[in-house]
Amino acid sequence: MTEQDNSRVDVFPHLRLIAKWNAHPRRTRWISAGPLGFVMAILSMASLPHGLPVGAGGVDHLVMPVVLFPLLWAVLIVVPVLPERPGGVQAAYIGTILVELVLIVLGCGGSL
Amino acid sequence: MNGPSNQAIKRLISLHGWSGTVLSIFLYAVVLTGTVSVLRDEIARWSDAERHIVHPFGQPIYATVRRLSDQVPEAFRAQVRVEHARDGSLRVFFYEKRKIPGRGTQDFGRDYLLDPETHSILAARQGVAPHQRVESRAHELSHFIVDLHARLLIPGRLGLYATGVLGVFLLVAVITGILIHRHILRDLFVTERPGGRVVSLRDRHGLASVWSLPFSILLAFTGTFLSFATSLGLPIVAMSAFGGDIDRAFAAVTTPAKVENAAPADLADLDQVMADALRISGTYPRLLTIEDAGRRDARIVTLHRNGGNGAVRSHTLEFDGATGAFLRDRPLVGHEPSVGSATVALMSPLHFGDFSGLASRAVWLALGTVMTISVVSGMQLWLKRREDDPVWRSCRMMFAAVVWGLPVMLSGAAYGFFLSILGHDVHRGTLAGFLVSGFVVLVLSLRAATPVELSRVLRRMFAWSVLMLPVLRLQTGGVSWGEAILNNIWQVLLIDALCLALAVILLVQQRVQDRAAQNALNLAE
Repeated sequence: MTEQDNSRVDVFPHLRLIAKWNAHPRRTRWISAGPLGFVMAILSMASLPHGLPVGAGGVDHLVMPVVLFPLLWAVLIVVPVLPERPGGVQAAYIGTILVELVLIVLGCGGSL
Repeated sequence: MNGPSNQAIKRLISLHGWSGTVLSIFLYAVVLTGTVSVLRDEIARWSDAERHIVHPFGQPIYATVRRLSDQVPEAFRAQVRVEHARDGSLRVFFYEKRKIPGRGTQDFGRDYLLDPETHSILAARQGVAPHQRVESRAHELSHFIVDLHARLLIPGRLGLYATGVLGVFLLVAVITGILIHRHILRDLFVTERPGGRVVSLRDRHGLASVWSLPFSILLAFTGTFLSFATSLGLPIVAMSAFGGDIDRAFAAVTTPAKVENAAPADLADLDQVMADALRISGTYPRLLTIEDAGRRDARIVTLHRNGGNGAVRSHTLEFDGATGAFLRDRPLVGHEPSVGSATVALMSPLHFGDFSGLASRAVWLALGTVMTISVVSGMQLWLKRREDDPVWRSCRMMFAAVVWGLPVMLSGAAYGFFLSILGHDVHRGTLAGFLVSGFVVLVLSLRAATPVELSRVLRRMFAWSVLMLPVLRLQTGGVSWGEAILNNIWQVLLIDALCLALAVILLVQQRVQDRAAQNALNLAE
């Protein structure tokens, strides 16, 4: 890590974790593009019905996540390959998964 | 705007290669059979032209439905499904929703299969949803090819998952291909450099891929949706938004709300409804459903094939079940037209290319062929770059066996189909033909000394087998070209001509290559 990175880590301690992931970029890419990407795509399909607008036909929030699932999964496989340091992508994936889980729990709580 | 860095490009090339390589054999199988499936209707007509195929909805059906309705228990009379079955017969299913222990709510009722012309009963059965399988001469071969394309012959949801995952890998290959190709427009007009070198293969792969690029995205996207929509998407959405109740989720998506009116009323004249549906959509429906028959709020819905009266998507026409009055063109999903319903309605026509008759399917066939070349040339390029590696060198043999072996096996399935027509069990015959020819390919692969020799043998075998297919068709009772012309069965002429043209092209190409190799050998000596 550079000196600038060290000072940033002091301010934001969670960056230490991202730096740790960046130290093993190959492994991080595999985890992000593989299991994390798949879980995120599945959870997107499950959580978007609770967040998307219903639409005039009353089904947009149900069908659009299913329609977008293949494209989303494919993009989530490609994205971790692009940056030199993929730790940030992995952090974004994990963060999004957590948000999606919250959306699902809140949505299920509301519908039960 | 800066593109990906050089390091990122290297990683993208690696992902592009691996996503295409790991599953390339299966991807090739799906793409090749998908291309052949474009002509499924023509293959069905060609493979059993002798039988007089009458559209079951071309005959009056109202009296038949009423006659059968009187024979079934009263509980089954409210919901009726009248269908143009896959074997060409007329299927009428009277049912009710019933809780089955361990299987949830199912359609339980009495199912009739009727002769499409006389409407006499061919088979009847009472049970859960119609699963009767009648030996289908007319559609067996084409359905075999479609099943291979859509499920790789793997039964149930697993087959759909497999092809869905393949679709995602194809999407990944396309996305990475776009990112690594910096000169897409220039590659549209590149010519292949001679010599069978790495650059030659790169030119071939680039050219085929760039021309089929929009089509690849379209097919991979729509195909993956069709694989995952009901097998994975709907159950997950149902689990998340409907507490796991798939029936409720399905009803919410497909069944529009209506004003309840349980007052008794006679069912409208189905023949009049059918005539109106034909007038509005320009085609016979493939399915007619009657919802809540015998009530004032009954609905009759006709589901049509893609295309028809200039529309890309299929029509779903809704009629009043008591008066027969046309109510509206119902969206495929949802209560009213919306972004979601329009997107879902476009998936099937864009995947099958059947929205504008033979013209659109000819385009889909041509682009599917280019896509197949793209998959094959990509794999050839990958293997050429690694020909010094002994592991990848052994893969060349396997790849040669699949590239020419699969067409041989498809041709074998057609042989099995025609030979079993005489024995009547065409379903087993088609599968047996496929597997026996697969075994022959396996034996030849094990005996071949080099991939080049194996390709040569299999290509010649495929060319001769395809050349003899029209002869076998004639010998097993198929109509002659004269009869086909007289009776306007143009599908026979089309598929026979395609078989002959394909065989001639392959044999001539092989001869030219053999001569070139011989000349090179003579020069060397």
